Amino acid sequence: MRLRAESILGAVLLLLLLWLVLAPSAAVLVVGANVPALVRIFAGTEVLANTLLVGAGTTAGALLIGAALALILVRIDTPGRRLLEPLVLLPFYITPLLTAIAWSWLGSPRSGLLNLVVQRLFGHSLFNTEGPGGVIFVAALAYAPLPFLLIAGALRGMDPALEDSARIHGATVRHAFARVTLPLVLPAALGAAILVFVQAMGLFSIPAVLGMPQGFTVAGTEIYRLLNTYPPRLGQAAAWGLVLLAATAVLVWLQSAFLARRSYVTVTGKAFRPRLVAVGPVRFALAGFAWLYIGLAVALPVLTLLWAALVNFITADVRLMAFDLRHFHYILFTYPKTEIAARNSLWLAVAAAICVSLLALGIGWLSVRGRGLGVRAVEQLAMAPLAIPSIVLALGLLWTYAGLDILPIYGTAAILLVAYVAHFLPLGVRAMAAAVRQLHPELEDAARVSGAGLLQTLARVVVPLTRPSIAATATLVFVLALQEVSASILLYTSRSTVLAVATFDLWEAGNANGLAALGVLQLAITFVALLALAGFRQREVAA
Amino acid sequence: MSRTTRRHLLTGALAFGLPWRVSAQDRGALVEGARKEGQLALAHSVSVASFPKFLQAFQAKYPFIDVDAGAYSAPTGRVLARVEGEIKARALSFDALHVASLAPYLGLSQRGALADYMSPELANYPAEAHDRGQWATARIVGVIMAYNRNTLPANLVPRAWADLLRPEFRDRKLIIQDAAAGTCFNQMYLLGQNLGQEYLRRLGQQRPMVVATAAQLIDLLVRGEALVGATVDHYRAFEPDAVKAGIIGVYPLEGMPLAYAPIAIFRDAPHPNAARLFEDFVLSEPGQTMLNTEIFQTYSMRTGAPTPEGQKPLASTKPMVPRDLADYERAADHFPETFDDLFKT
Repeated sequence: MRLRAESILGAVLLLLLLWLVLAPSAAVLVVGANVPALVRIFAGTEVLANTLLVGAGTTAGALLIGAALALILVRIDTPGRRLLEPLVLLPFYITPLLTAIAWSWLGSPRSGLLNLVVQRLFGHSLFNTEGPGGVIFVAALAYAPLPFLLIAGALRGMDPALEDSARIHGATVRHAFARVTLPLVLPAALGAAILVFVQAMGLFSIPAVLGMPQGFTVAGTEIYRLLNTYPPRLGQAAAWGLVLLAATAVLVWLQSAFLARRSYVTVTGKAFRPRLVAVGPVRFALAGFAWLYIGLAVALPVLTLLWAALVNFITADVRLMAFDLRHFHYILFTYPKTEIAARNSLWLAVAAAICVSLLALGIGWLSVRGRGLGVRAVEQLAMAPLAIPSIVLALGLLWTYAGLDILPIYGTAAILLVAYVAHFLPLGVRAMAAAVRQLHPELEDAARVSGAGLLQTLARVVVPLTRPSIAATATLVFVLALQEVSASILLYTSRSTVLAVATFDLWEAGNANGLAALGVLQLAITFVALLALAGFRQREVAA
Repeated sequence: MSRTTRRHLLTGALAFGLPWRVSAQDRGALVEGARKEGQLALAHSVSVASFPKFLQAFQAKYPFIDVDAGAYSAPTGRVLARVEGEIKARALSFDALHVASLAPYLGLSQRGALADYMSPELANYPAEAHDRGQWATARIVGVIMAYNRNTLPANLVPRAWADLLRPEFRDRKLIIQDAAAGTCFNQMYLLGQNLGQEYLRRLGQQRPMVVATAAQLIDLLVRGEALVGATVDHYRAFEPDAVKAGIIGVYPLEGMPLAYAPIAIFRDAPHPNAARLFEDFVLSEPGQTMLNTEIFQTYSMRTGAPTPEGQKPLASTKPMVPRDLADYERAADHFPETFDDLFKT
């Protein structure tokens, strides 16, 4: 009976995933298999080389920052680490588009605010955030929380007895770290590197702001250009989607092939806590590094946005600047897209949060409790969007649904919802599988013995017990959906425009101050959602 | 052939002062139809912050028409890509089109995607301002150069298109708009026709910065990130904020390429009556005054319309216009590749 219910759940989820993930991927494969377009891509190697450069540079930068932060905050007696840990995750909640725009105002060669200060002191500019260097710098700042989360998790899950053994056998602290700790966090680091590389290969908003004006084009901005010039060059854009998809598939395969060669089991049945290493006064410098990261990735960009939202116009001449609320007034009462974009963003983010949480709960439960090939297929398909840049996913959805009369979602907000659910599903599945893994199966067995069916057991036992994880997943998806640009920019219409696209439109319209005001409002919504989650968690703990 | 005849008839009628008119009865039906439709979906490439005022003025005249819900604004290329996508998907959500380039209207008209509508306001326009009611020119944008007097020394100020080829403007000192901008196509096509393709090749060798819109271009000039704007929608250089920040517009000695910004209604417009009322409003005297004088400071083709304040009369700018429309339209079809070859390699 249980097996039958599981099979039905598995079959339903499999069908849903085939529709969500496989259909758009297949569309990219079919439309992108355009030999002349592929030849053109590989003949003009510049964009390809730029894409690889940004992919590799961002991965290296984000991995270095994330790994360093993980060590500093999890394994070293760094002062203030409890406060720092949630703060270093904040860049995850700020849309890279806003970070990039803020850094273009901070670090542009002639009028960047930092350069204006430096010019006064030294007579010449020091910073340049435009071009490849700026793209990689901002992308590394924006994506560093991802390796931080994965590597910090691996460090926390590591039994200190392994390091102790090395020390007992004569290894120094440094030696034990290099020979024991580092190799054991390698799978997490490699996984994080692949994740960041895939995202960086499909980057759109950061290179659009910091690269395109300098003639620095990567795959994401090239796809955007190809679809937005007249006449649009669809075949060429699809071929780029195919190239990105193939590249990420190869990377994911390489990762699993590499990890399959060795055992990295570190979590045992024994309870333990990672031991903190005392590093003396150096710990203050390490705390300084973490604060510097927060300053560069959060404080400076947010303060710059706030400044731009309040100043009359951005100019190299400080004497012309005046401050008032006119841009907030424009955004709230005059800009015609604010209301419709805010309404769409909010309902889409809520709907995506609900859909992802429910789907992820089902898939997470099935992947932990279920058995068989079907279960693995569901799990693999659910995680597949991790390897699909969102701009490529959007291309696939565009071609799947344009002119599809049976399911006429093209040109509606529903196609954005499909994109968001598919794109954010892996995050939800990972969180929900971990939550289900913590529940003892006896609890569900007791419900089943008492006559509850599978759905009843899930609703009455699993959902209440995993409520904090569901709330966290829903909040995370809500916030990320609110920021999403790369897929939205290809799929929105006038009726389904969203806040991130409205912000991008203001940037294209040269309305820097208006976009800053809208960006500040968008950030305010994000942080209200995060505070609500924090309040919910506190109430749960208190209960 | 029959269309040509109609055009000649219309031109003749205009010449004899007998313009085609919508009768009072038709007008009542038009307004009633628009009331039932309740919405206007305009696809446009206008990025000036005050354009919503124009839409609000139209809505004030017809309060039962919602102008916001279906509006879509983006650079010309993106608007046209969206329109093409929707036409192909047979799911057109737009009623009317207003972008700053004539070329796509010629293509859409040939493919039968535009509706015939002879607005009664066309009686006040010369024949060359419209084509058989398929499209009508709402405003004309000139393409000029501009610089920031706070960053460019007076002795380096360019006076002619040819001056942009000087060595001091090499390597990201010039800014142009991307191929997606309607004015960019018109400028490059007309400069190629008038100054030769070699000029464009050498302009590409100057390695200019490329931005998506005229507004971004002005923003970068104001911030001092480049020395000269080389694809400036002329009215942008005369906007009060730009002038206050030090921007100066330069009418090039060789002449000013023009980009016609027509208004047209789609054949499959979901709200055709509202679209007709909107076209009437755009072409009317108050509409033209608001659009061309108060919002844009662009040139109007309406008979007797004044030159925008502080600008040269159109005739004295040595206007450059396409001479062979068939060639112009063919060039538009290949412009993305042409632009990439010139400026992206």
